[in-house]
Amino acid sequence: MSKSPPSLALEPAPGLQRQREVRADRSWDDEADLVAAVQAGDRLAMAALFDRYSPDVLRMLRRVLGTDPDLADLVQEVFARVLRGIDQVHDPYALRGWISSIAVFVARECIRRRKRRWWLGLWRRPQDESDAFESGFEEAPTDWEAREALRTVYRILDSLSAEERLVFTLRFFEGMELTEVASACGFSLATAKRRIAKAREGFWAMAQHEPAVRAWMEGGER
Amino acid sequence: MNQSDAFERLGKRVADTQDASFDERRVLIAARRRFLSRSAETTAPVGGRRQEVLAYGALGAVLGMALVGGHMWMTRPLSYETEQLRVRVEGARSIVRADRGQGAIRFSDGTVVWLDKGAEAMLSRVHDNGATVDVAEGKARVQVVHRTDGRWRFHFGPFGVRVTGTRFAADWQDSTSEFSLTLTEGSVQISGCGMGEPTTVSAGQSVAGSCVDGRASLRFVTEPIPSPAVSASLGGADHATGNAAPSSSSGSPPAGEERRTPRAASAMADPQEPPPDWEALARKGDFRGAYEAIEKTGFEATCDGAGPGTLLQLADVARLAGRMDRSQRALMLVRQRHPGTRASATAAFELGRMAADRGGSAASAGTWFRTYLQEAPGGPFAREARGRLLELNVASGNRKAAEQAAEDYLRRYPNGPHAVLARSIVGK
Repeated sequence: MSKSPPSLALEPAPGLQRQREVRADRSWDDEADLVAAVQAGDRLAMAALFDRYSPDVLRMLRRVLGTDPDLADLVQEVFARVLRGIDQVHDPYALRGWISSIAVFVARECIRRRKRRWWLGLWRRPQDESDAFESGFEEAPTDWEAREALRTVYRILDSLSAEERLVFTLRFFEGMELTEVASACGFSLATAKRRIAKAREGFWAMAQHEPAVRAWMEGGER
Repeated sequence: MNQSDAFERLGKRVADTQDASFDERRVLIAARRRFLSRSAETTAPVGGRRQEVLAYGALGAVLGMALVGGHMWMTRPLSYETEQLRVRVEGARSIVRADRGQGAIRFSDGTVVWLDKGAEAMLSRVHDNGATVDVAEGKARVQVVHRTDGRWRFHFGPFGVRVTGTRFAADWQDSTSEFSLTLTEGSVQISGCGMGEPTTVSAGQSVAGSCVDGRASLRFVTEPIPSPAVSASLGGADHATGNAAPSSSSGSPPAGEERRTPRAASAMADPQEPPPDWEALARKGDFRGAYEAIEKTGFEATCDGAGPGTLLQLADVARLAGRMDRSQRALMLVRQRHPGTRASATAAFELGRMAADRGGSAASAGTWFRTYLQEAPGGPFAREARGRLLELNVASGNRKAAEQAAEDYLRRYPNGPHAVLARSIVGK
């Protein structure tokens, strides 16, 4: 992930401010200590792991999937997988990249699940952008036109393959470098480049028919 | 327009728009709570022997909690059963279809979704406080039991319906893209199909419209939409107005519904008929029926003449019927009217448990558990209260307090249900 995580996104429940101060005094500043403690089954270390990496995971899932009512469940799923695989971590300093790859895996599964439902005719809308209020979006954002443009962007992305969508969103929305995209997706650099090129081509063609998206790409308002 | 620059600009706008209206903390707090509460089960990562110990520990914890008796309301996904529906399971999802006639999905919190013949729905994401129900086609009638932290989501075609506690009937016809909804109780918000701002519908109102080419056209209609399903869903009575439902065939409950559900039965009863004995219904495990009976007399009136034991029973029935607000009210009455008694201490424990399990404040939960331990240090829930305090300290990331709580717990209950968790904290 290319962006540094917020210092501490989670606020404790009301009334726990004093405890939060204690919490800052944690002993897992070093990734190796943190991984070792999690591997030993230390629940406090697990909480610290979650606090340290979950903002990045959430942001990455959001960039790839857009508004999704199940974002909290998906974040939880990523960390459940992290815990299941933590014993296999031999290089603690590669933890961030490894967690990113798990987040990508979970996102890819989510996209494929939606598509399966779509093709089976079980559902006509592979992504419910409308359910914003359940997904962390504020209930009354002021800029509805921007929200509409955002929906259109993700509607276009729905028509790309899961792999194309992943590389495209990680590259342009999440701002990852090409090498990071390739690593997170488990592709070679050449494959990542090829898929990004194809995704760009597809997105570009469809965006030409969407004035709001074109306006964004041209750097203006609709 | 240079493509690379265009995509860079697009990416920035997408990120800015997402970040501007996104409440990251809300999602992360929910994810964190679930992750930490389930990590004991999902991790089991640390080698064979330890894995075994954790597994037995988790099992012990579950059994221990269960042994605390009917008082325990454990945090676990709602269970549900279907009636007269064809069910197809696909992974974690169930697709249900009412092939032969009306069918129902009944959830353990008392929420019911009735599907008319021909309707198809998908049930996904069943949580401890709600579920997601996607109605792909047909008529559904819904009765959601109110909870402050309810997570019920319904989708009818492209329309999303947000509910807390409510009763409504809705219809989505996929072939014509037509949607209608009639609300009897509570309020709902409808969104989707490019509507932008959600539309709020209140009790007694109906909306109808369509979704064509990604554009919603919804209008309020003055009269309830004439659907046999609508009045049937209300158990035969209009609870919004208090009027009895017409006795014509259009007002009849679904076949067999009156017989199957105490709620429907009580709603259909003669208003002069004396209310059924709520305690007898509760003893039979019919908590919804018991709660209906209490409400028929009036919850406050029933509480007025009740002693501490009866108030605790009332709190149990209300909780098991999904009425956390009423349950809390009864427990607070025990605290106010009978201070210093064992019942008052038990009420403190129950209030703590409700706050901890039902999305309330962790600080409030901790205060109630500590109150219980002060008032009944050797009481029947002391071990559980100490374990719960340990959980709260772990969840808050307060290492020092967690270690103290863990050591205290292990000293008192070395084989208690939270002993595995406590040992993982102190490293013993």
